[in-house]
Amino acid sequence: MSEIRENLRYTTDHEWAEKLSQPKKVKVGITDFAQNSLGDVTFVELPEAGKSVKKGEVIGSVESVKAVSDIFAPLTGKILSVNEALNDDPSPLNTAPFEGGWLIEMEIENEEEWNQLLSAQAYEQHAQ
Amino acid sequence: MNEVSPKRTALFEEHQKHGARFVPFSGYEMPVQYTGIVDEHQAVRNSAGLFDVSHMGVSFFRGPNALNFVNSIITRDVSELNVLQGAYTLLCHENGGTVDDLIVYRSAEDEMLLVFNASNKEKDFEFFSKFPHEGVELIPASENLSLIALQGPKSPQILKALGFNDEWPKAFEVRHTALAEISTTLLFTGYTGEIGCEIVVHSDKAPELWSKMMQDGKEFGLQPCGLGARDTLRLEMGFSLYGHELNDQINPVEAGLGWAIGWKKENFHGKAALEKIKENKQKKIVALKSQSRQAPRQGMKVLDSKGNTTGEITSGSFSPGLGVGIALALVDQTSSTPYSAELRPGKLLELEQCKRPFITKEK
Repeated sequence: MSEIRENLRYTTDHEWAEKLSQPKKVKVGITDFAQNSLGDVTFVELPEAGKSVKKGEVIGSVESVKAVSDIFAPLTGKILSVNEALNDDPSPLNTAPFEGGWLIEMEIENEEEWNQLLSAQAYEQHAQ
Repeated sequence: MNEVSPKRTALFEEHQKHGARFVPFSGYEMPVQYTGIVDEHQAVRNSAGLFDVSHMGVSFFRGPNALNFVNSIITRDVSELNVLQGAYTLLCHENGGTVDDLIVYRSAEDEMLLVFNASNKEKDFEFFSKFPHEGVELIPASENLSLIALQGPKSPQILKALGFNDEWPKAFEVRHTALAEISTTLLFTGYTGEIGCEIVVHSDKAPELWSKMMQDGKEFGLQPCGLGARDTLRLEMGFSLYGHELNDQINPVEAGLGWAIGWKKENFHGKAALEKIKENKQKKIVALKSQSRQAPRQGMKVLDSKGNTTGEITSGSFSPGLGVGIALALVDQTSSTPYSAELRPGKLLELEQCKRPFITKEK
């Protein structure tokens, strides 16, 4: 069974978002369900820090041995930083998708969009 | 692809026991991976892997004229093939396009054993059947036979543990022998670049043999391996895969398989067309390597040094052995390196041309 964390919000594209202590600051990654479906992740294409993105926009990609999947911006805002460590070793995406496998940190524009993200329960239903 | 529910091989339940993830492939529900593609890939390179390849077709042509019959149609000259020897060959259309690539074995004095690609087994059999074959009995591939591939440097120890005590045969040789007291035919070939064999066994005995092999192979690091690892292993060796580097339109000359054509043979199907193609090649298969972990993928456009489209990626993947993306591509004969692949409009991945195989193994 895939792990779903109670304290996170989710998208239907199998990404998670976590509110950080600073206001409007959010961390984003792919879910355990997503990494498990992809298999061994071999490459991650990350966006550039400083870029402004719209909710739903393709901001990068995750490659596994067999397939390539897009990464979508879960929320509108500005990319603050990206997980550069994944460039050399993307394996944390498989081993720790909610921890070392995080993808980006962003500053969100719109609290309303945050409220529209899926709760853990809603995502669990979606991922079944 | 038709939407009828996929068939299962005799080993389906064994795969379930090992936690396989299944995908539909050539009409079968086949294991794509168990623990993970990279892990299984490394097991084959470092110790050994066991693959269910029962979706492939094992066909027999029997009779005193079976060898000559096969030889008159296939590209390779196998007229001198000894009993218990085999050879890789192509089967071509009149216009030179490829019907299939296959291995033909002289499994007995008057018997040829042919291994067809899964997606082509009916097509191949029909193709051969259309030629006059008086005195040769053509027996189509049947679900009664299963095919298990044992691949990797530990294969000899594992076969020995199962009761195979002969000296290790040369590549493409055949042995009729019992493994764990189950009657089998061993074909000493594979698709990974590692030593090993493909094992023909009756389907009703296949699960017992598989499970015995996994048991006895455990101490040698034997792992069940899926089609995912089979593909990365073959791509690292630069081996062609039908439906990718070969198809009804792509001929073996342009696919770089001229070495498997018996040009001196009096005749074979497609010879005249292939002779013409040889004098005026339009395309070629090239081996390409990315400088990063990012991989070119099948279907991506390939651009030449001037930025013009010159072909497309036929197979592409991350190479677990090299740690970079690798690919085979069908490009214009006159094109030259440096090439690049179009990841998406406006975004290119630079590729360096290299030799096949991508990985050289110390034998």
